Amino acid sequence: MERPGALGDWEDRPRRNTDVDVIGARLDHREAFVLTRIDGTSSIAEVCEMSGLSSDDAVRAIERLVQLGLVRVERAVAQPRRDRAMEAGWSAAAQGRPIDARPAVHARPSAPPLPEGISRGDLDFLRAKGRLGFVPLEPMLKPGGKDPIFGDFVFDSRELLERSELTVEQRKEVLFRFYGLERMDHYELFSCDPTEDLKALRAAYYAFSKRFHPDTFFGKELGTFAEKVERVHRTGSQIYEALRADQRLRETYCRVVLARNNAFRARLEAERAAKDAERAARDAEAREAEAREADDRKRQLEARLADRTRARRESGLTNPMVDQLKRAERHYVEGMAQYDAGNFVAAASSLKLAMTFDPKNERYGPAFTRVNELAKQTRADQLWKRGYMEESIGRTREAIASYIEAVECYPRPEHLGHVADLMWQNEQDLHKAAELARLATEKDPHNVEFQVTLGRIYQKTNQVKRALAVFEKVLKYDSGNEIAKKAIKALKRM
Amino acid sequence: MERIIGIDLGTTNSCVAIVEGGTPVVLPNKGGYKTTPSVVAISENGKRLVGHIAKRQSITNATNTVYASKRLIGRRWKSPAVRTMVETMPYTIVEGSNNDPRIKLRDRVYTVPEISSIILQEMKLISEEYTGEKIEKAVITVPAYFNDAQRQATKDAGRIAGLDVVRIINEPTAAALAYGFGREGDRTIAVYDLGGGTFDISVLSISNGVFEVLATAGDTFLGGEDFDGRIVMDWLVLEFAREHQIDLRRDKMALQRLRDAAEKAKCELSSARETEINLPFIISTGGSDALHLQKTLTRDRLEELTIDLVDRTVKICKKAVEEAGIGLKDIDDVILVGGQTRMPIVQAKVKEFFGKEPLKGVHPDEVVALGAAIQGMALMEDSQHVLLLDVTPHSLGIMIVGGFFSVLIPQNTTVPTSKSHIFTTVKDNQTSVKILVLQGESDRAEENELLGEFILTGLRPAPRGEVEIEVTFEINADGIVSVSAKDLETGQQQAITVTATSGLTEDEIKKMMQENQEYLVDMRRSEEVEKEKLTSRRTLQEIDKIFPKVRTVLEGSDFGQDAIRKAERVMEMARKAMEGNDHQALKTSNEALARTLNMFKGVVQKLG
Repeated sequence: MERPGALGDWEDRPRRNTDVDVIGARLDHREAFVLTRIDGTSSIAEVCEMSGLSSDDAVRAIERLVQLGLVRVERAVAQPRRDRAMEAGWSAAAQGRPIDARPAVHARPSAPPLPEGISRGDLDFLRAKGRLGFVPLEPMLKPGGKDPIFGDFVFDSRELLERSELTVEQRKEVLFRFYGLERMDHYELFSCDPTEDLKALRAAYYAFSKRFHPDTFFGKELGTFAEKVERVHRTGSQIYEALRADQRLRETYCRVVLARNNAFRARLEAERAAKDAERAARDAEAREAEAREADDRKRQLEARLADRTRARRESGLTNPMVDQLKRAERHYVEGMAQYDAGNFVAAASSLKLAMTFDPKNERYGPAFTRVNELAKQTRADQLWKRGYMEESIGRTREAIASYIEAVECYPRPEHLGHVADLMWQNEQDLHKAAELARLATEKDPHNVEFQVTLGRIYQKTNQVKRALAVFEKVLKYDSGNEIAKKAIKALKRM
Repeated sequence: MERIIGIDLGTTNSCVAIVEGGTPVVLPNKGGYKTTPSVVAISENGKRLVGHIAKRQSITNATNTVYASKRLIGRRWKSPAVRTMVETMPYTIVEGSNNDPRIKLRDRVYTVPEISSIILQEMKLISEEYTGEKIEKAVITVPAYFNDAQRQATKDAGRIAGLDVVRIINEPTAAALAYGFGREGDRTIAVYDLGGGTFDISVLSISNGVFEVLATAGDTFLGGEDFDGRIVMDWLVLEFAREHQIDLRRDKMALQRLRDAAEKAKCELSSARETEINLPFIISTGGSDALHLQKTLTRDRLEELTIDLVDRTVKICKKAVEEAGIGLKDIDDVILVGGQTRMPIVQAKVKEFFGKEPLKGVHPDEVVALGAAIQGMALMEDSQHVLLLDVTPHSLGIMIVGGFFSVLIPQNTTVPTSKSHIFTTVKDNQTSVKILVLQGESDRAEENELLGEFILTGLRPAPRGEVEIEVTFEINADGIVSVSAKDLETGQQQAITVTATSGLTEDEIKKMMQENQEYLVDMRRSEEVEKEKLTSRRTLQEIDKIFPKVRTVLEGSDFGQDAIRKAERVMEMARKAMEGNDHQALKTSNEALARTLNMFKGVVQKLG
């Protein structure tokens, strides 16, 4: 197919018309899928490639989307016409509808250059073979990946827990291949090294069959795995039969996969080298900056020392007491300036210094108390923020530690309530949690939630009477509180 | 673990095996034979006869004795194979309600699976007697070249016999299993299976317990029966007609005698150079005159008569090796299976074609059942030591416009397999689509075997071409085809109606299972009654023997006379019970008889 029909050129870019309602359109699954691949930056050729459909089917789908007004095609301007094989990636992606499983997602906006050792002819040959000549752009198992067997494949826990007589290892093996069928090459499916040797291929296929032939699981209750096992083995059989019968396919496929792997490894290495170099440069820069800063600080210190000596000499004061008072006053002034600037923590530390140098001064004490309060709040808020971030990425233990630090710094009732509830949920140090929750209720006695938390903690630590008292109090404020009602019922049973 | 038997359901002989302690063994029948003739007969009193006993009475009861029923199984009434059988078989073949051939024995018409089920039942009994356990699961073998209908019918036969057929496997594949079981190393072998009714050739690659069939070819109507047929029809009948102007084919009993004699002569010629066929009184010529048949058959004459059959097998071998994509020199071993491979010319031709001596040491009659038992064990046990990768022997496809055959799954594809095909409507608001599913290798649809007509119904009305139905054709590990369909847009499963099929319906099978069960219960009951009667007879004889002595002793006293009268009453009652068939009455009278006998014995003993 030289041109994508009435649509224009392969280079032209389809774009979504966002003002047209998609919901009302009658799309079939292919058209809908193609629609999701249209991002406004990919060309028609790229969309075809990404869709995993044959280009005929994909183009037809785009045409219909254009007819429905969901998509418009923008002419590519003054771009040098790229080679079609390159455009579509050198991968010889599957032609025809994907045989199995999830649609292929190899979203590479621009194709990498053809790896060494393979020719356009190889790719055309493989592409004509459809699924049997399918080579994904990247190996599914990447060197240095997280898991040597399953790579970064993510299992759906529901499928791992489903009712079936397979072991978890067996399930993983099956799921990995079933969902990976459109992302793995033949050798990855058979778990063997790329080879064109018929004997090695046969041995690999036989070993594969012993693991995945439906007879291996004969008489077992497989649930949804029955179909998956069957599909995995059927695909494997088709591939093996094709490889066995076609020497050219065997050779070409092996060559292309090896070349791809080499190219991929080279790319990884280049990326890693680039990253290393970047990090080294950054480190050197950082070290330099640090050294410069240290130099500056030293120079400033020397300058200040010289200033002070000069000032002292000029003022003629030698009384150390007066000197201290003056120093205290200077810190006070600095502290108040920081306070005005909103830097409460710095202000508090300056005022503390002022108090140390002149403990009897009447202004310093109250000022420090006031500023210190604010500084504590600031510090508490910082700690809280850290805890919040940790909680949001699931590091609950660390989050709780930060939260406790924060409330110890400044006990805001809502913070107390939150951390107590979190500790209750995760059953962390319930004694401490009870203390925090009690504090929260003391600070905000009308907050029903805090009371509920406190009650639940008591309930969990089997302090039945206390829990009852708390929940009854809750009902006094909020007579319809379901949690309290249920808890009371449960507690009464005990 | 539940035990599985392997059954080789042959055209002329059947064989059953089981794996015991890791070794497959063939189970002997009641007579001590390892194979049982696949012959079923109905005796005059309506009793079923199976195996040797059925074969022995076949000459006197030719019209009610079925043999070679495997040649009919799963075939259509109109097929040429059935036509040939109708002409040459002494039993009566009639057309059944599903376009299938059925067999009339005495006053009942049996379906072919029913006849096969009687043989399978016998195999089941043999294994139950041997193991002392109830056997319910079996692997049954069929010729590799059997098509879907033949496999399905065989499976049905198993069900009627009360067996759960866990797998149907191909005979040459089973033979290869028995050959390769426990053998190390990689080997490529050819299995040449010339049985009673069918010929198969399979090429397999074996490695570490994986048995992969590379190619299979065959002819389901080429076997030992045809060799016998040549002797009978092309020689004995012809010669006799030339000499006496009498067509022996008209006389069923004569025909049966000719067949038996031909088979015997054929077997003898495997070792001897010539043999006598001697059939006195073969036919009467009206009045009290009778003609005799006496002939000498030499090995050369036999080979002349049958050489074209052997050549046909060699041609099929060539095709299979080509299909397997290997050279003749790649084949490490050639295995001969089936009784007909004992014929020297067959062995010579095989050797000539493959360029090597066929393997000795594989028992051609037992190897298939052994393989079936091994497959049964392999399926049941968890550790996978043995795995079969078999292929479908026929291409599966559909009829397309112009009466052509479009192949969806080509022959020699590894099973289980499936293939989807998208059908669209060709008319506006079309609500049904008819699909003709066929099996075979011809480009013309009509020349292939029709598996069924599938009608997709309940399609939603829409402009033509808009409704797309995905039809999935599946061949399971048994080689049996199933078809499912779904609407691509709605994802809804479509109803499929199967018309035109020669198989049995579910109801029919259920009914047959029921009848079979009833028959077995009847059989068991009558066996028990017979046993009781035998006991009565024996006890009565013993009592009669010592009665005079006892009488002389007891007659003297009143008490003694009383006892004698009582004994006479008991004996009278027993004799009456023996006339009837009431099991309970027989049992009661037997108990009374035993007491009487004991008492009498005591009296005699006192006398000293």
